[in-house]
Amino acid sequence: MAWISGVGLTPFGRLPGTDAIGWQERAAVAALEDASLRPADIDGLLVGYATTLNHLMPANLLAERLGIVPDMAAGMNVGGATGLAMMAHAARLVDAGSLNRVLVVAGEDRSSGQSREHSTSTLAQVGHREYEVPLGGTVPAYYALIASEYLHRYGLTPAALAPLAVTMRRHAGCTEGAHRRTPIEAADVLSSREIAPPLRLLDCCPVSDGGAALVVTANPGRRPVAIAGIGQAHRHQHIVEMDLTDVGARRSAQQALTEAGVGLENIALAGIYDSFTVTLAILLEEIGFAAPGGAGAAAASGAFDRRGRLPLNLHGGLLAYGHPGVAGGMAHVVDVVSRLSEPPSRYGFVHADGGVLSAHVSAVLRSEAVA
Amino acid sequence: MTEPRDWITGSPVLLVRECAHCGHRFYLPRARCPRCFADRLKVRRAGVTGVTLAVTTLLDAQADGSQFPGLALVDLDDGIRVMARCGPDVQPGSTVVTRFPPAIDGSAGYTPIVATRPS
Repeated sequence: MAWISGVGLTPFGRLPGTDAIGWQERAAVAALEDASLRPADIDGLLVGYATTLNHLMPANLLAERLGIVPDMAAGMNVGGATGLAMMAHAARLVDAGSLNRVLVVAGEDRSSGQSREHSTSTLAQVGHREYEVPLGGTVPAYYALIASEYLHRYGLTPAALAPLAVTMRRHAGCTEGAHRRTPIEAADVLSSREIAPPLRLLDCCPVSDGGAALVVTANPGRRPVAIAGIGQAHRHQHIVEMDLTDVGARRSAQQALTEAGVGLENIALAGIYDSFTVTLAILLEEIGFAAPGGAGAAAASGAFDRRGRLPLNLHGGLLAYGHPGVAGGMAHVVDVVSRLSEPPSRYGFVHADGGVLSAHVSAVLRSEAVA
Repeated sequence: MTEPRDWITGSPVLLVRECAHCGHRFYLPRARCPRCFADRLKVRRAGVTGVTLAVTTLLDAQADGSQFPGLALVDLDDGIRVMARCGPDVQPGSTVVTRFPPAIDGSAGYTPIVATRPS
């Protein structure tokens, strides 16, 4: 059994003055302090890619910076799913007995370290280099295509997605360090600037600076949360190859739930990747936390509120806590682990996707006392 | 065997690849079938008709006065899904035909666009 024994999360926002490795360092130090560990205790280091750093050896770079001399160091790239994929990889290495204390880190100055044009152009490369990118699409445009199909399939209008953005913003209002904390209403979402119809500005996460880190260990630490189940699915890379009725989220989630020996009804809180409102809707629905076409209506009814049926992304998610790349998807884990550390004992669920709903990683997390 | 040319290599067509073993059809070029890994593929010109699955608008292209500011996913009747540019009249569910005006980026070659089929 692998455990999450420490977590670190920086504020997210447009926060110039710290570079990518600086954000990684801040998050890593916070996670080590949370786990009451020192760099010399770490025997494995996994570091997510940073578009502003673009280094061939991100883990070795950070190891040297922190004074870690690990038995294993590696970088990883699976888009927005990278953080959860690193956590899953760390858990398997610990389960196998290969390592005892793995530090998982991400951080980037994605907002202040590059121009918006450069960021947009870099991220658009998730499209096919010859058959999609030359047509001028961006990541918001690709997700707008997904939203267009989703709304048409269920006979909905963009208003159906707006409650998801409103809910995330409400949660961020209670979270120190969130990028966007001002409360919004559905009407604000629907009147915000068009980005790629049907998506508007408030349907999209902000681009942020920030970092996040986890310590995955063979023994429970001060905040003992077990990684009870892991799942992954990687069914396509490009949007023209996507099966929109089976993107991989259900398969990934079911693997994690099966390994943990629980069902969705046992999950007390969740952190689900929410790069766009439609991302969150599709993931919630395919995993089974909302009825097909019904995620927005569920949000409007309060189902994902702090005291709702499934408290969801209580830190504010990517849509409001912010999105500095790999660390954005890890913030969901940090939030769920932090809440699971408090009584009563419960199960939490986290899920992230990368690319255009291309890479999926899920995990069931369990407070120690539940076992 | 030399691969036939398509819109990115200077010929105004979309190509459909069909596995000679399992019959799976696909759009993105590969040496082998992604479903059964067979290496005997039939490559032919795709038919021009299809139905639009999804549409968005590229606002920069719209601001630049492009005749085709839309970006669409289209399910061709030939069994492949393609990305194409389109005009503002194309909506999800539209029956469309593909055409190939000169490349939108000014390079030699073509850009696939879809237009609503005249009723």
